[in-house]
Amino acid sequence: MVFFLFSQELLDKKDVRSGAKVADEKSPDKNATPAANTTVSSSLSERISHLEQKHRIADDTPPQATIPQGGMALAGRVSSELVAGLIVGAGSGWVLDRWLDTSPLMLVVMFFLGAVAGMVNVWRAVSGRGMAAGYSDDYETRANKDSSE
Amino acid sequence: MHSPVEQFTIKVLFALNLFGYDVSFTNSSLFMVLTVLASIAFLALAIRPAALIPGRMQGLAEMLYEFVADMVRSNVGNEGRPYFPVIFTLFMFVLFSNLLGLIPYSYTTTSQIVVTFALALAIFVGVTLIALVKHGFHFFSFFVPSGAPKALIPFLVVIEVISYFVRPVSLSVRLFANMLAGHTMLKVFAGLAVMIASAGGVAAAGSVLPLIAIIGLTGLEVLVAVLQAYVFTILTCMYLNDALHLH
Repeated sequence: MVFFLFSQELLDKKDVRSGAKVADEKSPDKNATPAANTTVSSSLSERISHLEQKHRIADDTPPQATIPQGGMALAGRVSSELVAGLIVGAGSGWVLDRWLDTSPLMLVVMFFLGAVAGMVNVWRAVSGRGMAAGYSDDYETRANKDSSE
Repeated sequence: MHSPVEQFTIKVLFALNLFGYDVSFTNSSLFMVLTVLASIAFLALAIRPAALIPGRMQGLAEMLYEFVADMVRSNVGNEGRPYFPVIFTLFMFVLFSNLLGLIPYSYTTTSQIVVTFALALAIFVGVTLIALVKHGFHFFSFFVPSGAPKALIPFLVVIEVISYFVRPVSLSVRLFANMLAGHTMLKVFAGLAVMIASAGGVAAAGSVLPLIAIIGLTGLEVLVAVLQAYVFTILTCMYLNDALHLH
């Protein structure tokens, strides 16, 4: 879904690049039109400075990893995190049992810990905190800074 | 009547045994080779004109490139640039094997957990090594949540370590389960159409309904194929971002 939206955006950019002819056919409310009306040199330098600024912003700010919050992608993610947490928990518990000869203690303990880890990952996915482990303080400060800007 | 999961059977095309390991060339291997060849051929042919104003094929190839480049830039930042080639390769491989699998009589390599898990494990090990090389011992602070009560820290560290090791599993299970479920569903509806048609008489006309459903589901499967390639790649970017910028 996101892929197609994105490609449409790129197509629009391509239209601007190929000149005024395409832009004239577009409806006037499209943002492509003002760029096409100005002279070539100014629109080019404008675009260069705009791009440079965009890249400077990208260079300065640490990227904040976000996952698409679209319904299907999120649903698939949440279910697979839950299942994977149980698989890893029970699997590592089973291996530890065989290794330490403590059957079935570790299997039971690790099963529940795996379930907890899966739920922690689900919480991370739905609260948009990226994939980072830990509950680092700067999440809140960063979020506050973002909202104040 | 074929079983809906028969399409996932591994068939040995020619047997091969190396140092006591079975490394036979199977239909899955064949389609992995075809996936690689198809993606290379597509990109090589598409950018062949190298026109300033790209044609349709060149536009498509440039779109894929810019799409992944933008994903790496926005999710990993500037430090992610050296890793762009591997992420682009990964995206093209998953995308092409998902899409090739939708062609009738072909085989979906990503419907095998061993294929997706191998990909995810390679990413997991690679990303962990990058983090260890870049941050050294400091990497292990990743597992200690800051600001947690001291008494809870041993418990939380165990959970964080497990949730770190969950990554390759959830990454591979997501792709594998989506492809497996989608292709099984298509086959179930196809089998239903054949069963109704074989009933004969007026009832056979009812087989049109599952046939219509298959058309819709095929469209959905194309969406899932592209979406899962995208999700696989963006999660790789996020893991890489975590490795490069520890919190």
